[in-house]
Amino acid sequence: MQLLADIAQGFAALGTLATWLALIAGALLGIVVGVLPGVGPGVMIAILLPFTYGMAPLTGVCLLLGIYCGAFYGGAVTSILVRTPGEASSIMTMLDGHPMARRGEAARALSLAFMSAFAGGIVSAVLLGVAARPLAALASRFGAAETAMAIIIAGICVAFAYRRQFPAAMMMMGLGFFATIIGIDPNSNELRYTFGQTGLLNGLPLVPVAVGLFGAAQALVMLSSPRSAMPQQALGGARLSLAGFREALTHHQAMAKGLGLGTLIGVLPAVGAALSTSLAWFWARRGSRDPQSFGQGNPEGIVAAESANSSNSGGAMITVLALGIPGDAITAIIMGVFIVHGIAPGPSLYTDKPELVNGIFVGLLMLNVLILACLVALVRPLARLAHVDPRQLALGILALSFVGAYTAANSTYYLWIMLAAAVFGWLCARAHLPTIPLILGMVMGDTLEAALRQALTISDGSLAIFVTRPGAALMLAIAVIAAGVALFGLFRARARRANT
Amino acid sequence: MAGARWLIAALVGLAAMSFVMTPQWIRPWPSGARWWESPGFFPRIALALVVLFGLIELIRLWRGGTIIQSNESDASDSKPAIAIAVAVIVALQIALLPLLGFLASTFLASVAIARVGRLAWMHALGVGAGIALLLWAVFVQLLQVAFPHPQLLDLLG
Repeated sequence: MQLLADIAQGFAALGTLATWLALIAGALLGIVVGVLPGVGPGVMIAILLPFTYGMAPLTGVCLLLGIYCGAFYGGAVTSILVRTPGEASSIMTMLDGHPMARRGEAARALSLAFMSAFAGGIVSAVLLGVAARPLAALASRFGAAETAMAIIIAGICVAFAYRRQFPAAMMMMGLGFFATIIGIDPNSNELRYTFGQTGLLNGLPLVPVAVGLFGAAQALVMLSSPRSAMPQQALGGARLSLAGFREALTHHQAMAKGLGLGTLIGVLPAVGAALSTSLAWFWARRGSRDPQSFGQGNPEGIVAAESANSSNSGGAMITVLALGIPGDAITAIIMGVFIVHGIAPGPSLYTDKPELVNGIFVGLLMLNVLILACLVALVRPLARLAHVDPRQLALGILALSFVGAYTAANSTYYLWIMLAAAVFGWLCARAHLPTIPLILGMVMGDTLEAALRQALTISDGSLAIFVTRPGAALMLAIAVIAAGVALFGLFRARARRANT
Repeated sequence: MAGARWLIAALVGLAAMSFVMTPQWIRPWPSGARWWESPGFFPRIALALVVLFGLIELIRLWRGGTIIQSNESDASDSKPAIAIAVAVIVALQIALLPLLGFLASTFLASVAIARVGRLAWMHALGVGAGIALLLWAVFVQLLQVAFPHPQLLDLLG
């Protein structure tokens, strides 16, 4: 009953023309960025973040969520037709999708992929509606010690997801935490690392940093890297078939495996779609009657990979809405919409703004329907967008980043920050240093500092508060084990290389 | 590989210096504050993370570890000269924004960047004009974003 009431409230919250237009625009933009070479959803979401300031919070979130979800679908187009996965999570779709396209079954492969992604998106949205509320109720009992530990676990999970880049990811997260403390200390009003610059009094703003790191930096990479040509003929094969849609639903086992893994992994911070698609693909192959044909155009491979890929979307929003902790860069930027509007994401959202939470839940459901409808109507022209010259795209991204960073505060100071972040982002891309942990650190840093200070004030400076409270102790143990496993894995990999 | 080492070493060096200089760089420094209430408490934790894990990564690379490519943007084949030139053009665009206004600065910067990106002259002019006019129409005319008024127009009377 609660679910039905939530759905009804969600529909009522979505009941403005602006929100529906945002859903449609987000869905279309998401598919487009999924198809476009070199432009991921993170780039587009970072660029559009400042433009959501003038919108109602739900409208802004719906626009960005549309891009997030649409890119899951759009990425399959170039993976299947031209063997060019736009995202790491589309690689497993390519393994079976492209061989099918080469033997003239492109319509079947695309239809299988889209229907599987649709099922994944709907299931993960329902999971968001069902699971987020109890999790938020549990989180509402958290004290400062538990909040601090939850953020530390999330941070370590994010770094853990980078596997052998664990130290680099932790370093970048530390840098993100540091970036949040620049400016006036909210507790004691001291000026921290402002060096007499009035612009730094309010701190290092998230928006121009995110726009620079993800938008303008990617434009620098695209403009300065050699281009690869897209085969013209293959993209002409973009069409869909009703039989392909139906067929996706007949591969029950592969779909169930994809949905199960995708939704579970989606909830874990930063583990991400790439791991869930590869695990689902291998699991489906193990249980298949015809495992040899996996990688040569087996429809079960597409169904498992795409259902796992798309079912990450709802899971990733669960931690944002229930705990106030972003799981990846995109949900961190989406969290920026809440922060800009003075809304604190987390357990209190369910009591303070239930219409917003339910609006997001129903918005996710509707987005999947809208995206599938857009693809049915427009798959051919959308596929042709893959031909766009990346240099022209980069020019557009750079110009939009410029406008976006400026409009965040109508200030050229923000433009300088954006440019500095872009150059730093490009340097990191050259050096293969991850920048997503930096943004996550910036989003979580304020809350972590406040929670640590509050917990230690309660305990009068005793660190025992983190081990005497059961919830905090459990989370501390998980954090220590995760960090230990990551560091042990690094040394073991080195020892293995030395032996060989 | 060398680039990664230099960047990490620079970050570690800056973080270590900031850690040491924290009492000088937080004003006024409350010398009597208890450690967990000090404004330097959390910054030092963050800086310690940077130094500690940066050093682990540096040692790993120094002992023959390889750079591991992440799923994020890859700029291995990127030409630094082009990237630097584009960054300089954007810096000039920001500096000249109050003088030239949004439309002219965006047009000039887009054309210059397109040329640096090796687009043909006509193509660069077309794309530059298209981007500048579209953004000007949407953001300045329609959404009324207040970009600085071009001082050059005043200077020219």
